[in-house]
Amino acid sequence: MPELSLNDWVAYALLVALFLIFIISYFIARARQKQGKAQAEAKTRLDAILHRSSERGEGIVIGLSEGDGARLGSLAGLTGLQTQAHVFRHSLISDVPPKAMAGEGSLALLSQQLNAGTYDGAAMPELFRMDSSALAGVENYAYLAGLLPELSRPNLSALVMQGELNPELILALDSAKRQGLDTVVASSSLSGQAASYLADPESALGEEAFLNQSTRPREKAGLDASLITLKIIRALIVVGLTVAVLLHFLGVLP
Amino acid sequence: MKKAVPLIVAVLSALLVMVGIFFREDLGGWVSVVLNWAIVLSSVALLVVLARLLFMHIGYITMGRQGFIYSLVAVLAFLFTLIAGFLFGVENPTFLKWIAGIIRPLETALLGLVAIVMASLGIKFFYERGWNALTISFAISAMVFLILGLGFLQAIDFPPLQRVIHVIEGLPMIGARGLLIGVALGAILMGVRVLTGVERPYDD
Repeated sequence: MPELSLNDWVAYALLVALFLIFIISYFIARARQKQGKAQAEAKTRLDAILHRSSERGEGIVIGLSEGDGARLGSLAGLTGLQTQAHVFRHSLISDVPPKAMAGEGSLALLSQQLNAGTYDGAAMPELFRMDSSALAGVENYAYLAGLLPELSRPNLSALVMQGELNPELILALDSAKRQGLDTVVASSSLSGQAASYLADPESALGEEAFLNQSTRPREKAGLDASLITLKIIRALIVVGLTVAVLLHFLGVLP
Repeated sequence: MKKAVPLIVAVLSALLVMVGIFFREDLGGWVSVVLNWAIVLSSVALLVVLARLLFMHIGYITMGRQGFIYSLVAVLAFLFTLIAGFLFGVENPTFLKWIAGIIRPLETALLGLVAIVMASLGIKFFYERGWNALTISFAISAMVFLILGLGFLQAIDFPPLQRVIHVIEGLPMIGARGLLIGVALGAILMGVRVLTGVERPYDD
């Protein structure tokens, strides 16, 4: 085990604090759910899109991670999969079923497996179609080349993108906007966030890229616990940085 | 049981890889073995998905679906690349030259398109959101960094000006660090959610 510096200890302490706060918040959220005291669900933009697409019988295109960022183990890609599951659960009998486009082989397979499970869990496996998830392309531009034609399909209502997305995603966003589609973007890459913010002021920034939505009790409690944990950890970091700056000026810290 | 097995496998694999980061030497290369399995599985997954994609396009062609001509181009390009790769080898300079000769111009064209779309969205930014604190600061920072990017100011030999430029050039880094801390926190939390089985992206 390597020797640890002060920075390492601070990082480990933060990790342990984050883990403990999350676990405690999660159990509190689950207990509140069981007692029926859970907060009324806030209506999000994704909810509005899902309602609208159901009413009008229109489809949704879901963009998962692209290029190098979609490699096996990309956490942002996994978050995108959760969002995909949420969209599919709400569009099981839609006239135009949603379609997910992934930028990597294993992500595309996981996406297909998840869709099959969603339809199976809803006791309608016959509605599952293999092309509900597809590989768009394995490089950034190949991914765009695969995604852009999907946006030209008729009867679409929205483009939902979540994962590790590069600034090139702006072409897909622009194309979607020109065709009157709603857009929701959450990219975990900084350049992707900057580009998407230019096109969509409500795109996710910072840690928001890893938040997803769910109506399932376990996942909903996990999301609530994540939000509480983020608030506390952010406060701890701000206080910690302020104290560190003060100690630095007082000559205590180098 | 059906739900428990994937959860146990996922959590144990994640813990093993995490422990391996701290005790790499003590584990005697076991982490590398697990990571190699992941790479092999990922490659097989890519093969399966590519085959699925190919059959999907062949299906579109046989059905005569609207726009099937693009599927035809995709299938022909795929087969051409595959056969040429098998015949000449993927390291063959001529093969690489052919591939690069097709891909690079297309990528460059898309890159040019990205630049144009970004510029047009930059203009639309003011048109749609009007003049407020955000748009004004965006405009000022864009102007300042465009001027700094030209490099004329850096050439002036005036130490106080250089110090000011140095401070200004550090500003984007401060903003980026703020966002990076957020991204890191989000990623860690997502990891904790997967590790504790609260989120199961592999299961529905």
